[in-house]
Amino acid sequence: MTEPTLDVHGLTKLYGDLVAVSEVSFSVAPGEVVGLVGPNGAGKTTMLRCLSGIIPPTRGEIRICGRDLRQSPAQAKAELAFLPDEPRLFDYLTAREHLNLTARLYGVPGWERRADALFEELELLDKQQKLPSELSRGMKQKLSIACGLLHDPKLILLDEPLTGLDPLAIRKMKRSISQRAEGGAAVLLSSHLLPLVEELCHRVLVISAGRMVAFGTIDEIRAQIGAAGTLEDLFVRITSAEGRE
Amino acid sequence: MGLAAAAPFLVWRSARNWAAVQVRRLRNPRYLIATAVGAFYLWTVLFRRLFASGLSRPPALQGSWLVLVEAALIAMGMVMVLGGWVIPGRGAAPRFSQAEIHFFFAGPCSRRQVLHYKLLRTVGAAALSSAITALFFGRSLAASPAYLAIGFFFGFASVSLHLAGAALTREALSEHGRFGLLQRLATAAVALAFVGGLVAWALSRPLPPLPRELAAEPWVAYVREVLDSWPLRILLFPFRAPVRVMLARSGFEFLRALPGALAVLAANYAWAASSDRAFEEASLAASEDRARRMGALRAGRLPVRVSERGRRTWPKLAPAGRPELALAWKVVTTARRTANVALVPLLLGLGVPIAVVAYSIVRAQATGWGLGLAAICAGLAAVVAVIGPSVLRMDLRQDLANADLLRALPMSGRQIVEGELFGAAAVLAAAQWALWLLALASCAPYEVPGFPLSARIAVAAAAALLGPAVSSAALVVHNAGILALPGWFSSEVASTRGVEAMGQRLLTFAGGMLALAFGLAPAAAVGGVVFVLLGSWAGLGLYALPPAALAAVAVVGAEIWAALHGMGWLFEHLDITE
Repeated sequence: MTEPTLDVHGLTKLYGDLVAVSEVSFSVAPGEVVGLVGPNGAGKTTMLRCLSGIIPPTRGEIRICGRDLRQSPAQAKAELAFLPDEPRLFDYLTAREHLNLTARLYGVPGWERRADALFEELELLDKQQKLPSELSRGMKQKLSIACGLLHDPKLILLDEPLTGLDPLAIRKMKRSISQRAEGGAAVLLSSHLLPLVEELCHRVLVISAGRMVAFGTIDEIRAQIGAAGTLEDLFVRITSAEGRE
Repeated sequence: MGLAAAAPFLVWRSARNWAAVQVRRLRNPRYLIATAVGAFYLWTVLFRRLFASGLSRPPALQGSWLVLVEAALIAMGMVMVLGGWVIPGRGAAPRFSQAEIHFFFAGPCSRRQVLHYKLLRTVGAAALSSAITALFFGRSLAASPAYLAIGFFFGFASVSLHLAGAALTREALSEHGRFGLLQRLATAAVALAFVGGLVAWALSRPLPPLPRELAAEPWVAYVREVLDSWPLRILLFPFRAPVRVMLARSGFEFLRALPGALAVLAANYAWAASSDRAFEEASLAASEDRARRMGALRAGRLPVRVSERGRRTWPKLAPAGRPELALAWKVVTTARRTANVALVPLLLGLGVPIAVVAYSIVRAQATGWGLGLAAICAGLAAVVAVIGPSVLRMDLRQDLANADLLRALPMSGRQIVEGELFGAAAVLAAAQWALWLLALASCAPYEVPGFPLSARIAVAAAAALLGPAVSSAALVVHNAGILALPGWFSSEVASTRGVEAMGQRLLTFAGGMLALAFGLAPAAAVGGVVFVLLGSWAGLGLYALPPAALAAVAVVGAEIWAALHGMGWLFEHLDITE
């Protein structure tokens, strides 16, 4: 059996007495795209921050390509890319220098060739010498994506990846996610765009109030809750039931 | 690979690109003029002194004064370190930008690497601060600006590293839920007990006797003796070591002091870097808080958290009526919700010194807390009238970022300007009237020779008329400025730094003051004539102040009325893409 790229056991994150994420366990296999959905404030971003090593979990184990994120953080994080909803860039580095910096951080051999390919793929070729302040919101988002993909990560964590992109870029981004999954990358995609999740994801993880309330393929979730319909119908049904409890 | 390779690249390229951007901006005449003014200002207040020669160069401190400066610097360092331990808060957590968090926290970097990066940047920032401080005080405080700069560097860096270590320790102790607060208090108590114990021990030792004379020399000798006494000599060593480098009088003294300062710096670095505690959450929270504050400032808003009580809707807005009153209501509501933040530094920073002066003048003639309170209120009212319009930027200066939305409203430019200004003017006037009423009420029971209650009422009435007129005129000047030259007066300029931003602020301040003086001159002349006519010729004395103020207010009112016409036109023709 193939070792999962991302293996999460009992992930819990507390902020004082507030339970942001509670006992979440799941795994993502190589080549698999898993959708992470939940209502606002469900704990999706906190979970992604824990998985990407930005904040430490209170309890639980996270393994990335077999490496424990707590024990070997640098080696584990070398295999992942976290693409946040808001592009976070250095004010005084040009677009190309951002990729140069990323290459130094991750030790990417022949980064210039890969950077050229990414700039071309994301239509940023003429923006390479621009500072972030000279780029539009969508361009910044594309640059952030380019930085994330430069080192060919085995695990890609995406938090609302399509925010700020135009329809053409959205189509390209969707194709890019699929291609990278076909190339063996594991993808965890958090989004409120349920049709996107339905289109791209093999399995879906639904969380509500920090707890995992459903996980599986859409058919499996339908079977779990005994209802038919689209992911949107299932989502409304699951989260409404959770809310009533 | 890793942060060690990436960090120098990041620092160097960022600095180079920043410089290039600054140079490129000089192609714009506005930035060129502002940079020239800023550079001229820096030259006159800073560099000219540095490069001055001969007698014009202020002499370095000698002998007795040096001891006092040494004691003051040691005390300053102690206060900063103690504050870092006792005053809890996120502010002291290692600060990362959002980009640093994204690239480094989620990147292939260990927590220790990230911490070293931040600590080294802290040391670098200390070096920059030291250089600037040495430029200011280099010639007057120390024998050599270089000694001063290096000493300041050791001092700043040691304190900053110590505070970072304190923040990390505090975070480690407070990361476990409700026990955090108790643990935090316990930490503060332990730190205080430790320091208190040391101080008590030091004080229990025989200290040199206090001098009986009031002359400077015996006291200076006493301070020197205390600093050199056992065990204070050892206890104060961490604070004294960098100060000795700063104030070294010769190369030999400098070299002798250097190892001690280096040891203190190294010890603080090692302590901060040895912390293997989780700092990510505090840093992330601090970074998000900073981003929120910066975003609010750039948008011209005060970055405040509004309490539940502050969210109550008061005053209520009627569903129908003049639309400009709706804008004025918005301004008043904003002011009410942000007043706690904006007014405290304003009142404390400027009001208290003025009030103290006013109080001492009153006290020379009579005594009584009521008179003191009246003097304080009068001082604060004057501050609100003069400084209030600059500090409370809740009018068009705040809303210009939303000019496109305002332009889409079914209102004329003049109505929008009136709404924005009326709200701000009403807030400032209400504050002044409240202060004058309080001043009158508190001084009413007292007899003041030569200044009866009726005369006090006349003065207060005149001030209550003139103050709001002055603040309204200042509001008009500020808002007309931002409508005529939005690039010069924007909130972004107010919140940015650098030579060119300093130049812009100097120019806009000088221009605003000149315009205000020019605008108030006719009113002052009319008011003055009325006062002389009624006060001297008709013999009304101080009782001529209210009618004189009324005449002046009428002139200011006419000017504001005319200005509002022009400002309405400017608003309608404003290029909102600028």
